[in-house]
Amino acid sequence: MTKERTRRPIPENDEFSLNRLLDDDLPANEASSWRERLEAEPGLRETFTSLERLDHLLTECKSDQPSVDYAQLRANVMRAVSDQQAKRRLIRFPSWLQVGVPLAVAAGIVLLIWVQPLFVHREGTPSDSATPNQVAVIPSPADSELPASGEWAEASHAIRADRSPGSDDLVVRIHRVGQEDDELMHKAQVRFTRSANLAEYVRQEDEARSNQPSRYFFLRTSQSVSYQEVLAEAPPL
Amino acid sequence: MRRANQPLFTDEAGQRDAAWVQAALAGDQDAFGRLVETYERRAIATAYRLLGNSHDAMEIVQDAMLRAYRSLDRLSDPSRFGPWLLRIVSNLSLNARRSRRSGTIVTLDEQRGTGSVASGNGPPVVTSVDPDRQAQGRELNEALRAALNALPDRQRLALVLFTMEDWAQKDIAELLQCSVESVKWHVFQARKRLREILGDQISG
Repeated sequence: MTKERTRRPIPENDEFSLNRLLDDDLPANEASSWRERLEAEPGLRETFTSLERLDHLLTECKSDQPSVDYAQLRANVMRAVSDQQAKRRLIRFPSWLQVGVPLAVAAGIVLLIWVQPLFVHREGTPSDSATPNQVAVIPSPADSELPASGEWAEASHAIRADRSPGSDDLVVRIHRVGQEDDELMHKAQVRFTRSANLAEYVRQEDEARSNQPSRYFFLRTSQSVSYQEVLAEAPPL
Repeated sequence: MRRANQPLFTDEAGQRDAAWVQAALAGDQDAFGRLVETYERRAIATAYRLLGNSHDAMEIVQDAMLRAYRSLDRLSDPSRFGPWLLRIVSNLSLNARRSRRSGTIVTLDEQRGTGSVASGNGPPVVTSVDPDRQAQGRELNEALRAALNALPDRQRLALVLFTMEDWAQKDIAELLQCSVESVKWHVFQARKRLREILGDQISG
């Protein structure tokens, strides 16, 4: 009969205690009692022996030491630290500027966000799609940089948002155009809220515009629900 | 029988480190140099045990030290610099391991054919000069290495630091940000899994 067939698994608690015995982690009286049990119970003894062998093997791995030039390591680190410190010195501002600049930047951002709706519709913006919620347009998918807010460009997918009549819900329309297998090259960062009417709008838009060129653009809402994904893989509607 | 390992992250060490951290934050580069010197060996050993490669370990540790320096002002408790630094080292090492996805870890020494464990430069597992037994020993070490690589990160880290690097369980607990009991459990689970994988090769 092989060892495999005769070996009986010991309870996990016992096995854990044997680990603690191996690690000299048991109180003296418990350790002594476990040693007695090891004498009397072959199954426990066998487990403990294999634990000792494993520990022996692992301990032998200590001799596998890294070959590292510590002086070189230290020199490299300290050189990088010096460079870092030099950079910090270069961009050090007077103390009043250290507070003033971030405050001014924050104020500028707030102001920009506040006044942006006033400049959404620029010259050349097609009127048919100019809803109050459009703020930016992504150019054709091949372009990698976003245009300025409010500009338009042809694209194969479009998103549009309107306030649905009599409700505060923002309705997002996603327009998918063309039969070709579009390789989407843009990730659009779209902020939107969901609406019960959304699926129906999308369906209608797809149907109505299936043969027309369409446009990419960003949406702006008063809510800060953000979603970043390729348009064709918009979340379930 | 294994003897309890002495903790590294003691209160005294913490106070010393805190003073160095404060000095480094005030612009004293030498103070940071002393921190580097204090933890460089442990850092390298940790990275090496996770990556199995001296060159990678050195790169990871350099990166970790620089990251630590850059973020020194964000260290909320400067007396915990040691565990914090080694946590950065182990996280970077584990990330490197994951991105490498090479399956098994091969040491540079092994690649050169002069490895201590794998090729018998250090104390051999089988001391006999019998070629068959030497081959068995190498095979066993290879099996052990593969089995270690198959362990979950925390189990592997806990076992390796405890058994190969002689870290105290308390230090490992600080590194892993868990309790000492959890460390014992990780080590236990790791050994259990290794025994399952290695089977009769290490059975009594």
